[in-house]
Amino acid sequence: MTFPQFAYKNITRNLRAYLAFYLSSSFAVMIFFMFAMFIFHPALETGYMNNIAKKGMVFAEWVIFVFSILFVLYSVSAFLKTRKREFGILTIQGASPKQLRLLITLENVFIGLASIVTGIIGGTVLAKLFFTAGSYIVEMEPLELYFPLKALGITIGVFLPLFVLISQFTLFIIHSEEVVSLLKGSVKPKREPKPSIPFSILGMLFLGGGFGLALFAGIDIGSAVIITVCTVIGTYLFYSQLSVWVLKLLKRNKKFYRKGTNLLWISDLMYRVKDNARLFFIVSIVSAVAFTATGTLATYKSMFTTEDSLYEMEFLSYSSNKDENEQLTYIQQQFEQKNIDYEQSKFKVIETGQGSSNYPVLVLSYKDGIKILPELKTSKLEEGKGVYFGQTEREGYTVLQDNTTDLQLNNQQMSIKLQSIEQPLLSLHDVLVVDENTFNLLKQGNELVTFYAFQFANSKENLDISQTIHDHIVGETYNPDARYSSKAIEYYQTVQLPSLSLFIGLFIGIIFFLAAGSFLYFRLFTDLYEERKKYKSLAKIGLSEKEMVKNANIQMAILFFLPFLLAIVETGFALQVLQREGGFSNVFQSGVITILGFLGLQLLYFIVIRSSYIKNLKEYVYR
Amino acid sequence: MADVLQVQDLNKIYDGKATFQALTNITFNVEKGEFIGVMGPSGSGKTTLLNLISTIDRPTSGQVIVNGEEPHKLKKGKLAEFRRKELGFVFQDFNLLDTLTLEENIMLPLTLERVDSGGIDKKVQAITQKLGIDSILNKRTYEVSGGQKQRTAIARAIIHQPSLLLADEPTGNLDSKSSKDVMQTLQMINEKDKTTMLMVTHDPSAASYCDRVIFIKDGKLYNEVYKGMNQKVFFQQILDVLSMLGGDSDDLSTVRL
Repeated sequence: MTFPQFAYKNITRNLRAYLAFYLSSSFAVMIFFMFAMFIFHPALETGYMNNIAKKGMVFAEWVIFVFSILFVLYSVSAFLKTRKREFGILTIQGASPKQLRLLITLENVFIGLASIVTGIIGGTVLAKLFFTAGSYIVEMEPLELYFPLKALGITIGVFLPLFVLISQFTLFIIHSEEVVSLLKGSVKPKREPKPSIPFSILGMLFLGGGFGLALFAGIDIGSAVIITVCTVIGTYLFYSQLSVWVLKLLKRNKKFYRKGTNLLWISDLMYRVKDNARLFFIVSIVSAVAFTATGTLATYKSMFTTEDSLYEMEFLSYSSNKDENEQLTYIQQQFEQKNIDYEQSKFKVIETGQGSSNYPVLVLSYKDGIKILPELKTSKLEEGKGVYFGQTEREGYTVLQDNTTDLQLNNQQMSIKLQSIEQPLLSLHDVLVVDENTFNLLKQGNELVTFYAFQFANSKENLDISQTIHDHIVGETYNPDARYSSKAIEYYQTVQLPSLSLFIGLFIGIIFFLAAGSFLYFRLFTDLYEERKKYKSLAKIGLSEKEMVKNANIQMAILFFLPFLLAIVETGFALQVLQREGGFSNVFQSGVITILGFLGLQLLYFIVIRSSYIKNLKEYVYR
Repeated sequence: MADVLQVQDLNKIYDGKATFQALTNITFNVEKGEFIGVMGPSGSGKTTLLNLISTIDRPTSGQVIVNGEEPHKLKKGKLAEFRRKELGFVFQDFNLLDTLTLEENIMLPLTLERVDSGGIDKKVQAITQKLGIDSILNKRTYEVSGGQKQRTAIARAIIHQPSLLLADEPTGNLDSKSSKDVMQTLQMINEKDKTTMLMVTHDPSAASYCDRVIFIKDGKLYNEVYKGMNQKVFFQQILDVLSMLGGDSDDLSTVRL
């Protein structure tokens, strides 16, 4: 038997012990790979996704990697702890530290390779599912599955060294101990933690400071970093210090503490406060990131409403525009190149502002109005009155009041009574149709602008030419002489782009949420072995099955929902900042929906894990 | 006197690839207030017997009756209650919870019974004074010696005044001084509180504290010895039976005095 064979047999013959480690590693790889697949997706590489979104995603990928390191480190050290006895035996048999290291490294490489393979396979399957489901949710074309060479390379290139490095690192756990304590294994009771008053106060200060700043301070990059740091430190101290105080208080209340199983779960929480603090901390932060990302992007999406224009493209040229003819031919050329049958209309209209906010409006004569919308014929327009096509409120401003619009003309104001207010006609501006006499009256002293409208079939697919035309006429930012609008671009900006962002937000959210969930899972099932022993001896002295289930339920519920609660609070503050500073209007509605969604998921997860955990306990303790 | 424990025609067969009869037709009674020891070589069925009496395992046939009640006929929920009320346990490895202080370990059965906090304090105080562990109540399990742990476990086992105290090798993990302490403690409880006790042990000197010792070999009752007036004589009698029993040599290590 060679040494690699020994390592291999170790794994294959004791698969159960390695299973948790293997699964959690696979999970980390899977998430990383899925995300990499997404980032390097050809459709997104060539698409219109802007640089910031991309940088954000690359950043998120590295965050995932950092969490993978933590995750794998956590699993491997928990796993090695359960095998201390084995290492003790090997040491007694004369295995040198070098050989032990080789053994662990080999094992880790085997498991690492296996989990990279499973992670990649699982990631591919899940990515397909997620792409399909995601595109269904956000109403866009499903992303195609592709051969992700880059993602593959990065995943393998990053995780294989990680497994090797981590196994070197974890060896310190074994080296630092005497053979005797290795042989005795992991039964080494921990001391009860003593809370420190200064640290507790510091924790409250940090948490309160973070929240307070989020409520009242002006937000720039500096204060955002301060708030984040405060909250993160405060969260950690909250769990490691404040929770001890709460538990101490509970203990001091003897009536409560000495009632039924309370004694068991409170003392257990106290006993594991250190382990729990780390776990709760990570889960809280990760969940808060997930909730905030999803909540923000959900808000972003619900902010946009599509306005349906009658025309596929609109082009408005002022009298100062010298390139009008050139631009018009350019548009026509584009259609011809793509063999698009189009219909062109041309109107002379007045562009002016209205009301105190000077919101732009296009004034059309009744004659032209009928050309655009033949239904106008049925309603006779009274002299001096107008029909308005637009929205009464925009971006929080009231544009129209009391069925009157105040036109801000060049040198005077003019009030026009509105006969009716209808849905918007055009996407460039709101439209006011007035009778011929009024139009002629307004024409004096106001410049006339030329409005071109184009109609053709199959609009949403014409993003390409719309973009080129837009670049040609408007340029990078703004052209004072001309306006241009296209349904395809509108649609892209108001539906597809927010959808894509929401999709990415959901993706990140769910991935982080899954990561938090798997931390919990791993924690529960590494402790299961000890818990079973504990309950077994408790059963001998008369703990009934019902009491055991109750106790386990309480412990699990705390594990699952305490970090969740703090994450909700933190998300609330984060969203509040966004609402105040980011100009988002309905953050809380989408925030609440997001959190409810995650709560539903968490509940489902809790129910599933709980039933399998308790089933396992029952089978072992009360056969 | 009434019998606290009646064991009648007890059989236990472990099914499996090789069927194994662990116990064959075991019958004996334990009177109220009696302190009885069960001895036998490794694999003789002592622990199986204890598991059957303590209702942790089910017999293949035969009866176990504790205080006129047959626990194996009880439902699961009732069974836990039965163990809690009628039985007390002392284990070789103490089975104390590391998460609790010694005091909390002792009061655990009472809190499960939902006794009120004041009543708990009184009982804990009374019992720990009797066992001489009242000064270490706030210590944790890893801060005290094996003997102290075992006395804590004894306190936990008798705090709810069970009808029958079951002890599984209570001195198995202890040095000779601690063993002596623990056995004297058990004897004192037996004499003062008239607690009925059944102890499984390897250790002849521990067994010599009993009123009567039953010997099992290969799952069958082999012999029994009653204590007369003198513990030393009883100890010698036990050694004699053990040497006839012919268990593994290391079971009898104490014979070579």
